[in-house]
Amino acid sequence: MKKLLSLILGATLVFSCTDQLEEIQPQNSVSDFVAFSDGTTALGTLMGVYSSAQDGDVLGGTSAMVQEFQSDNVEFLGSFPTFNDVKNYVTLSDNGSTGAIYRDNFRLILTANNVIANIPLVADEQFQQATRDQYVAEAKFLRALAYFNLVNMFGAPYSDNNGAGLGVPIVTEAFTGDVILFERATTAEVHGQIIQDLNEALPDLPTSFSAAEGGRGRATQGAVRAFFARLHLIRGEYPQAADFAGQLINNPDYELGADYSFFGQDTDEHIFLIQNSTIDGSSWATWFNGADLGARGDAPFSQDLLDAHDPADRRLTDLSVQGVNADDGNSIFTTKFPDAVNNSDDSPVFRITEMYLTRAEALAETNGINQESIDLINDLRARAGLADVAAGDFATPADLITLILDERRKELAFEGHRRNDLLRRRQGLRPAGDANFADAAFGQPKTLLPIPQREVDLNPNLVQNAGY
Amino acid sequence: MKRISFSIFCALMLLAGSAYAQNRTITGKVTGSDDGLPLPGVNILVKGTSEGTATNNDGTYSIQADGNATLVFRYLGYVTQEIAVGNKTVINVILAPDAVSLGEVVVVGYGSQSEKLTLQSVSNVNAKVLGNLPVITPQEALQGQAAGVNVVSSSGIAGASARVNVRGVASLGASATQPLYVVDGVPLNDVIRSGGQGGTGLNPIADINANEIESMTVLKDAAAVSIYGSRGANGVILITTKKGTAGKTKINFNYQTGWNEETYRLNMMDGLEYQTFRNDIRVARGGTAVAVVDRDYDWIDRIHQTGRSDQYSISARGGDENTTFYISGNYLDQSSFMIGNEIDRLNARINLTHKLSDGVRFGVNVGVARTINDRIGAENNTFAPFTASALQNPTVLGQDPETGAFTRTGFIRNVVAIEALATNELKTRRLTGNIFLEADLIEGLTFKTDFGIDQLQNEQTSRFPDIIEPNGTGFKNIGQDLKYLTTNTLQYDRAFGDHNMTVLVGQSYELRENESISVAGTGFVADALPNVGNAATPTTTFAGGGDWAIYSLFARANYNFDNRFLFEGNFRRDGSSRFGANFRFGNFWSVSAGWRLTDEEFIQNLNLFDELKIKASYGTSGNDRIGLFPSIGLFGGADYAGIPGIRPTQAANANITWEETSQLDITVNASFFDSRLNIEASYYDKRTDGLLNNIQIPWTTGFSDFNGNIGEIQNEGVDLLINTVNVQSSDFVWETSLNLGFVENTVLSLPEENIDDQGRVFAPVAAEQRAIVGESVNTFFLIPYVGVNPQTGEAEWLDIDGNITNSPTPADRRVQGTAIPKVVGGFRNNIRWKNFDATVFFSFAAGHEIAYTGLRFTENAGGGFNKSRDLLNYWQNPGDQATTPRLDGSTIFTAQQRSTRQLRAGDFIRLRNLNLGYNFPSTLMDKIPYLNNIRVFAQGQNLWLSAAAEFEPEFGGFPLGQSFFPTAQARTYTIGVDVNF
Repeated sequence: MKKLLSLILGATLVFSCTDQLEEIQPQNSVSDFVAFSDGTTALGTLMGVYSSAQDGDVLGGTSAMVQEFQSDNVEFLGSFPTFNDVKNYVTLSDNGSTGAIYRDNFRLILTANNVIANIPLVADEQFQQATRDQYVAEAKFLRALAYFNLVNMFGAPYSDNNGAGLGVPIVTEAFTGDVILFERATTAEVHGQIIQDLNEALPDLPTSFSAAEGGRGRATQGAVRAFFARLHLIRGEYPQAADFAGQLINNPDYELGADYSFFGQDTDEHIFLIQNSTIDGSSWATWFNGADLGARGDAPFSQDLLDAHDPADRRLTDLSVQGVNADDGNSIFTTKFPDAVNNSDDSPVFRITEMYLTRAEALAETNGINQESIDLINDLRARAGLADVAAGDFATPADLITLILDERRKELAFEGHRRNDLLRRRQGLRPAGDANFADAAFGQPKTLLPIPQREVDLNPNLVQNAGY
Repeated sequence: MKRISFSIFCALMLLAGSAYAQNRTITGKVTGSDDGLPLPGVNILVKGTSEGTATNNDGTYSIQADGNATLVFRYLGYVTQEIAVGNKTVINVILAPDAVSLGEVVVVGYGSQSEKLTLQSVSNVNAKVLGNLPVITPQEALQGQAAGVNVVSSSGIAGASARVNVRGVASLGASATQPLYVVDGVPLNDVIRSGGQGGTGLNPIADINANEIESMTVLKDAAAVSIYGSRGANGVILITTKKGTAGKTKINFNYQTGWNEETYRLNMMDGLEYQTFRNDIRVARGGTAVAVVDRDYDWIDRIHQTGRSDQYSISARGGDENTTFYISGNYLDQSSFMIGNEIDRLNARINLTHKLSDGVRFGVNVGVARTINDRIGAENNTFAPFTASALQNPTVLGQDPETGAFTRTGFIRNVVAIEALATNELKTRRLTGNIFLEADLIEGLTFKTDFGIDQLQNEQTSRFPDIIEPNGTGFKNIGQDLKYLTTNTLQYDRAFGDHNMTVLVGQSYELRENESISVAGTGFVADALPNVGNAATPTTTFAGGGDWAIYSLFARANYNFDNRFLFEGNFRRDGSSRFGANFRFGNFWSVSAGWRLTDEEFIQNLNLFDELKIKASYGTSGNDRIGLFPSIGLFGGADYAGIPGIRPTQAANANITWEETSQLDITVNASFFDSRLNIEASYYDKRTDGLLNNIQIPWTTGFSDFNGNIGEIQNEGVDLLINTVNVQSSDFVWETSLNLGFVENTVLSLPEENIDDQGRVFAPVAAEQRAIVGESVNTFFLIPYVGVNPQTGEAEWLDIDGNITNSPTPADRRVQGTAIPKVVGGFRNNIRWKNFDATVFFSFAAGHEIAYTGLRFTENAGGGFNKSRDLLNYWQNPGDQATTPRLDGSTIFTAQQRSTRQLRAGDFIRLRNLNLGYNFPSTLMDKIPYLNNIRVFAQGQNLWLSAAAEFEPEFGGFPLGQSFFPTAQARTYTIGVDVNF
């Protein structure tokens, strides 16, 4: 008996050994040591930056929707109190939804910083220098996009005193455990960072990617040039804007779509888009479709945007449908993002149509009424089924620019451009007669989103936007 | 399913029901002279034979004996009595406590101790109390029963988890504040078992049938919890299941049937009110009215029903000197008052012990359960009946008025159609048990080895048809949680003269393996295809899991001199896979001392105390609930364009280690007037240092938080338990029990980085809450709301300087009380008159605040969702005492922003239980063969409530005190019968 007992006792003591504690490792994550161990994992970390861009708050639809209804393209009808506060121009700084936009864009930036800092250090001799440079360049391009998002929504508009107002903090280093309490840089300084990233990225990027590599969902030299065109336009630097836009219009890789079927397709219309699949789930469709399709029905056309269209305009007839809105009524919804079931719609970021509009506007600003601007606009109007315009139709360059901006609004509606197009022109965000017309006038505090209260609480160096 | 399981019971009954009868039947009841309560489990032997039985839960017994026999009544801690049968047929016995023996035993970690000699602060709920409660899950049995233990049911949703806080809130993380559950020595897999579908997740210990529980012991002070080391800081709940007793086999059959309904409904607008109100706003703000349609669909009424429950339990208990057994089976079928919510549970248990020889025993305790939970969403979920019925526009019809066909209602889903057409089900299979071998090696030295398992399999199936989700969606998750545990202990008991000592040493190794597979897809050809495998487009394909292990050494030593001077020390060393190699091991300990004054001459001379003991303890315990790999930086899956990708999901902190709680406890136990008045009072000071928490860091780090040991929290309080026997006669007994737990929670330190405008150090907890140094960890931090100005009709708040403002900002927030109740407790009265008995039980909590954040929706004048009728009381003319601002003013769309407008005092008292019972007289029972006792009973739960707030004051979720459309609690009516053979 005693022998048996001592055997059991001995066996159980041996069985329990502490070495087993160390053998237990995560199954669904890898540690940071593994993440930058070779070229394959390094590509994985770069894909992680792109994946961050898929987020609704970054380039996946939500931040675009907020900017569309904060301005005049969308009538927000949903239930979120946070979005209703933005709609009604009564936002407070503890607004969780706008806070999430700030959070998720910085998440992308820090994810990119990690890649930029660590890829050059990967100890893998097979991992070519040119490939490393390209990955770093892609990460810089994406980081620049996130900064552009942030400074447009949370920073003072560049059009206000050439960006001398406060932008957002500039963070270019990876987080290593030390919490640094950054101050806000000015909008001009943030633009400076964006320009630096784009300039550094341009030479290291290819002109295109194969479909297996992600096609137009990866950053190319064309994407950087399109970004420059948009940035210069917002800064009022028209000759440069016209130049970069022209480079793309003349690039045979890109071509105006014959109709509007290019949404969600990897076509020549697109210079750069974020590819989304059914397992990613972007936010576009859930906001912009009717409840009858299983979406939220929150963000239909505003009456003002409907009124801006000619009834025969194909951008209305081909790209809209009546649906049930979140307020149990009927509204007109865009069909640019139709997949309300799986939310797999791609995010259009840069497309050639924008370059037509940018060059047309920039040329009109520099050269006045000119035939090239009119030709560019007529290309778009022809696609929309509208009659050409001619130089004689415009009394002043301002009239032509007004028409170009109007076309720009209709072409790019729901893609998140409208608010910035108004702000860079120092215009109010809402039309006359709107309940919040006065609150939405240029320079009014709630035309900017608040720096999240949480960030101000955690970082005394952050200065809040006026009025919050 | 119901039919099959019922037949199992019938079979069980037949097997176990072969009773035997001889001689004549003696019946009676055994009570204790100390508190007059019936004594269950008293051993009754016919002297000189092996014939015997034991008393039932209500103290009654029945035994066969002839007139020459003598019955021996033996009960641990009481003086054994022998009574000659003579010509009596009814023998009622009152047993006196044995002054030399040391009373009832209480279960403690890795053993049991005499209640009178223990130095540990524990709260004990035994079968006496449990037997009288119509509880479904074990935590409910603790509600209001144990001083210092705050138990809150999440809601009336079947299977919802309860929240248990032992002596305040000692941690910041969500699951970290919950105690450790240990069943027959096996620490359970007690993470919330399944996603909450918007609300609180499902109860991790819902598979344990309360009827199988012999006792539940809540370990509270350091002396009690330090032997659980790194997992003891938030208390430990030891559940002991019923064991066999030697003597004649006793069969118990219990049937209960019940009805339940909701305790409250939200008062929302109907179709006409809704349209009129919105038109009033449009017109007031210069717009034009929209034509009012004659459409109204009472969503709230349609999601409610009368819930039903049926519960069948049968058990057999018996054995001889060498082998004892307890076998039980239980079937529960319960629907809640919400449509589409049902639980169907089948339990069985077998507990066996066998004496191999004089010094060697072994045994097995095994519980198996199968639970099918037909689930509903809750709280922050547009598929949740409670939330959706409140917010759905009342002019939206759920069915076509002509055809009755369900409609697609858009983003707020058609919850009536979901109930009718969708599947949302969690199946759980669980096996919990242990086998053990115990051997007396030399005199006083006992070796015990124990191998335990807790195997849990969850299978969640969801399938939403086309009308809910276009083309349909499906989801399936299968999760396995397997836990193995080996424990070996050596215990040495020795007494020499007046010196008594016990030493326990042990070691244990515990490994938990978790695996989970999920798939989801969209696009089905037809609703008739139930399986997600038929989906055209996969949207989730996940496989994953996580393991952890803990290796421990522990020891306890007790010494007492003459049962008067008592000393105890505990030690545990834990090593856990959760922490980095440098900080993997932690040591925990406690020391305690007590003085049992009862037997001291100067106390006995006072002739006042029947029992008096003073004890004090100090020691440490830990908490490791902060994820599986908190120390390392992690990258998680983040694919793009079909290329695998990863991105950072967790920042590294190699220095992370245990959270450590040290606790001082001073307790006095006293009993007076022939034990008619019993008082236990404890003071404690519990300090948690190195709080394990996700430290909030600026988003400019790329993270929201990182894991760290931060700050220090203090919970200081008093637990008070007063039991009295107010009336005690043979026909009438009235007992009262009051327990109170007072706690003051204070944050002592936090990282110095976060300092508010008033110079206070804080950490964010929720949008409404902060942990603030000098205040509680759940301090509400909100803008003060004043009300609607009767003259101007505008909503008014206070700014930080105390001036009225119409446009406050977050800079105007201030401390507005705490979510932690200052006092929680229970008040019970038991009355017994002849064969009737009644229990009236109230529970209460006070001194805390609750944020009803759903008011930001229901009192929101904008937006196309339904609104509270309170909004109809809007300001129209100067002098109006309105609750809603003027419709044309500047504050109508801001009044619902976060402020104290959504905050309410949390104080409440609730009639938790009203219980009436009748035992058929034993004279009648004697005439029916085999029958020993029949009891019929009627019970009501949550019958009455008085609360400071107009909404439900009890709900689950995290953090404490934050509610968002919490489903109502259930008001339950139950009747039942309990038969002993």
